[in-house]
Amino acid sequence: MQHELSSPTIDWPARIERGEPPSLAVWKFASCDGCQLSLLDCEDELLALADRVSISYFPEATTAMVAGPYDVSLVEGSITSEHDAERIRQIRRDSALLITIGACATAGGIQALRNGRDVDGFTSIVYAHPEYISTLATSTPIADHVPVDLELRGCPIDRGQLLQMLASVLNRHALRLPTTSVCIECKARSTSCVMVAHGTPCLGPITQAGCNALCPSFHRGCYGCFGPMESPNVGALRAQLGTLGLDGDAIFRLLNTFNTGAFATAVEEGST
Amino acid sequence: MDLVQTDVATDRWVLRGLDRLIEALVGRFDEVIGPVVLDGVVRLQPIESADDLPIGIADEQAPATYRLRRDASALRFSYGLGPDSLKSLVHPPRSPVWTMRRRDGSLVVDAAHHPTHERAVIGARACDIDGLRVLERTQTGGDHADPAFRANRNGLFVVAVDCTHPAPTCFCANTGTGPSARDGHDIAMTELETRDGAVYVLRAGSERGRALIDELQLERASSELIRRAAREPGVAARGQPRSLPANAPLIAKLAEHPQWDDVAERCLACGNCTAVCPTCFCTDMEDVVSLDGDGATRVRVWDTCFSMEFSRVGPAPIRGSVTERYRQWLSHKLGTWHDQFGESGCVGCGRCITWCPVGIDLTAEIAALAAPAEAAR
Amino acid sequence: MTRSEPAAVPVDPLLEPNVQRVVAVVDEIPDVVTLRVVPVEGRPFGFLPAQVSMVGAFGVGEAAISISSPPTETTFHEYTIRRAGAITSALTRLRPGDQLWVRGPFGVPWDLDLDGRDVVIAAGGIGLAPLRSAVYRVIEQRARYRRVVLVVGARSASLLLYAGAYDAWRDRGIEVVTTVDVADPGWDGRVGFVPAVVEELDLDAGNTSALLCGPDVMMRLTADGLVARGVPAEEVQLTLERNMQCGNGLCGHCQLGGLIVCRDGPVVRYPAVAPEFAVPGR
Repeated sequence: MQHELSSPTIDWPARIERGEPPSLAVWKFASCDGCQLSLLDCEDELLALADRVSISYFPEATTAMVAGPYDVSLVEGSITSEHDAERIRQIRRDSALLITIGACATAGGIQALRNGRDVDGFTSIVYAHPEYISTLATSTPIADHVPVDLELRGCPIDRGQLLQMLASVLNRHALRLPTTSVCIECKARSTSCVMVAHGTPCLGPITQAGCNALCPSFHRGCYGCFGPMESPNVGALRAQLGTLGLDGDAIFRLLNTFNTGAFATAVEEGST
Repeated sequence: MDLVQTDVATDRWVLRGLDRLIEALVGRFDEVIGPVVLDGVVRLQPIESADDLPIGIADEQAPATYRLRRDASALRFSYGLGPDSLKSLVHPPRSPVWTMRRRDGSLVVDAAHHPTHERAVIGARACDIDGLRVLERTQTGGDHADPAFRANRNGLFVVAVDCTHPAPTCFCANTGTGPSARDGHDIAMTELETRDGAVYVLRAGSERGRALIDELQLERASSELIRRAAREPGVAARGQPRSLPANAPLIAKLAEHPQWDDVAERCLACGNCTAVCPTCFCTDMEDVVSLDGDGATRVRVWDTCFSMEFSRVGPAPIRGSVTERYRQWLSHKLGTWHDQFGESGCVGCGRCITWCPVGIDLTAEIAALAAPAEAAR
Repeated sequence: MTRSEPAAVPVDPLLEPNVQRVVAVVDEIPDVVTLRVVPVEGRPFGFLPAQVSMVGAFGVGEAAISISSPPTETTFHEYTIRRAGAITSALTRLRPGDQLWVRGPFGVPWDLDLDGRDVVIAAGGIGLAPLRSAVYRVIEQRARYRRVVLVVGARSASLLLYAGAYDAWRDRGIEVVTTVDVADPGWDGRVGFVPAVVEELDLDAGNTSALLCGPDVMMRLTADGLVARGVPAEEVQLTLERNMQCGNGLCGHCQLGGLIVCRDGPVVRYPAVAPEFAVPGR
């Protein structure tokens, strides 16, 4: 008899194994910087962490630029160009532990709306000199390009989850994050169901928990920032959204925002 | 035992308005919980006076739908159940279990946390009070009772109100758990509308309930009021359209039936039903390490059998499909609960029907499962 | 969190953590270690073979682990742990002097009152860990039983758990049969799955009792094979593995049909579980 809950087993960088401060780098790809700002937003807590990590590369916060290798890399943003694709491969080679943060890095972000569409057409409309633009036809998550050790979802990420993840990594274990629906968080914090009680369209039932049900607590439907939960039944929710009066276009727009790529995959897999 | 000299079963008192009762509760308990309209929903919330309670509110409930509207009555309990059962009061969504510190390589355990506060709840319905009893059996009925549950339950003073306006989603008459409070309360009330406004006919359910009634120096209820109070809940029960068949325990345990796949097509596996259920007791543990690395906290949190992680053994969940997870929930609730605890896990409150975002109705599922498998599509 | 008020509630060893110190670590097979632990204060609690402890790693959580030391050993406990998830990774990293906590012992033990009977003990992979304390108990009271056969299966020879102890067990009157799924060069034991090897044992079926531990499918096939040969189903005991989290029957995770495994198991007799084993996803 041996039982425990699942979570990845990880070979920890030597400094973490020895209880010494690991070197930390923060990287940005196609993104809005919001997730990095979530890290900066943890001012008080960062003090507690300050002597437990050594920041080697974090252009948003410091001028420190220590060359790799790095014990822990946090990666924000999606891959949208050949140059990005090469850069993330180098970062992976330089990083013992690679953690993706935010919907761009974990699902391709809202910019993944371009996927499967006429990107040359977009470029010609948006840019005066489209010939200067070098871009891929897709916006893809980091994990499509290199192995990722841990991921934090969200648009932006939840600062509590980020801090807990860092504390756990320093304790040499991977934080177990919820993979269930946002509904679990609504019920735990006594937020009344906006869909049942108000008829407000909400992606909460198919979205992974982690934000502590932020939008429903302000009487808004969930926008799906944390991407699909473990077994998203998109078809069943779509039917209910129709019952609430949404037409096909409105449902499409609801499902295709920050995690468009991930929800699209969930629809393809038709997972129930 | 000398405290209750008269017959608890037949003594009735009358209260005009709830001010004096709630004042007495507020003076006596750390916290008084009652129904409050919040965001268009009747929730159980801390209250300070009778003015916090709804007045002249009616509800409309159906699968996946809950709406409130005003009505002209002076009643304060003229609506069916809201999403909150009494579960949160005794078995909270999050409760600390212990904290631990690491100092020079040694682990030091702080004494485990057991709540000690005294609370009163007013407006509890019979089905929920029975749910409290069912839940209590799961958490304290074995060899190693959960001390936190026991402390919470012992500290809870229950003022019940007979359910005179059940929602069409509930079926306590069928499960035998309502609409009149019979057991587990300290005081029970029947709310009646009279020319002078709302009047409450009270009965004591415990010695401490009787002591509070005595302290309020209430007058005895007239025989006319007693007759009306006895009649109202019965009228309410007759209107309930839903029920479970007598053989539900057997049907729910069916291993094979196309209906399981059918419901899995519709089920979101979101866990709303288990969260609002007054008896769903499953919990998970969260262990959290502090930022300085030297402290750790263990918190018990509600869990749901609709999650994959719930049944995981080794690399994979035992119940990987929603078919298997919905079947587990219904089989347990109505079937194997009997094997484990000697009764059904359903008290007929109907919350899982109203608060399911897609309106899955367990009474309809059981009816479909009762049809022979060949007949089902 | 504040310290609780003067505790009116007595400390329950199944609910409250008992801090223990690692005194020895044995590397068994790849990713599997045995921790020998002693309480920081007081003596280890008594237990019976197949009983389980919740073993905790600081800040990470608890995993259900069988106690695999001899039940007569009153100075320490041993836990054989495979590195699988975060908790067991943390536990298998501990070194002598490090501390952990345990709660226990939980659950229904093997019924070893099998006087005069032949006993077949069958283990798949790390399933030998919950059986080791039973083997110790049988050796200690060897005269009570007739023939005792231990069948141990693993994917390959290097994954046979406690292999260094088999000869000593043979010397104490246990027939030890080893089998592997894949034979490496030089392997001279059996090749095949545990149910097939048990199938080939020459048994006095009506007088045989069996103790099984391994994956569900291995136990089901072995049990069905034994019953088909005339071993009474009631005489087949097996130890269930389910998601055990609290140990006290309170958290709901380890349900298997009407069974709450931490309370009604881990050891059950085959008839109690055969119908549930037949249904995937139960």
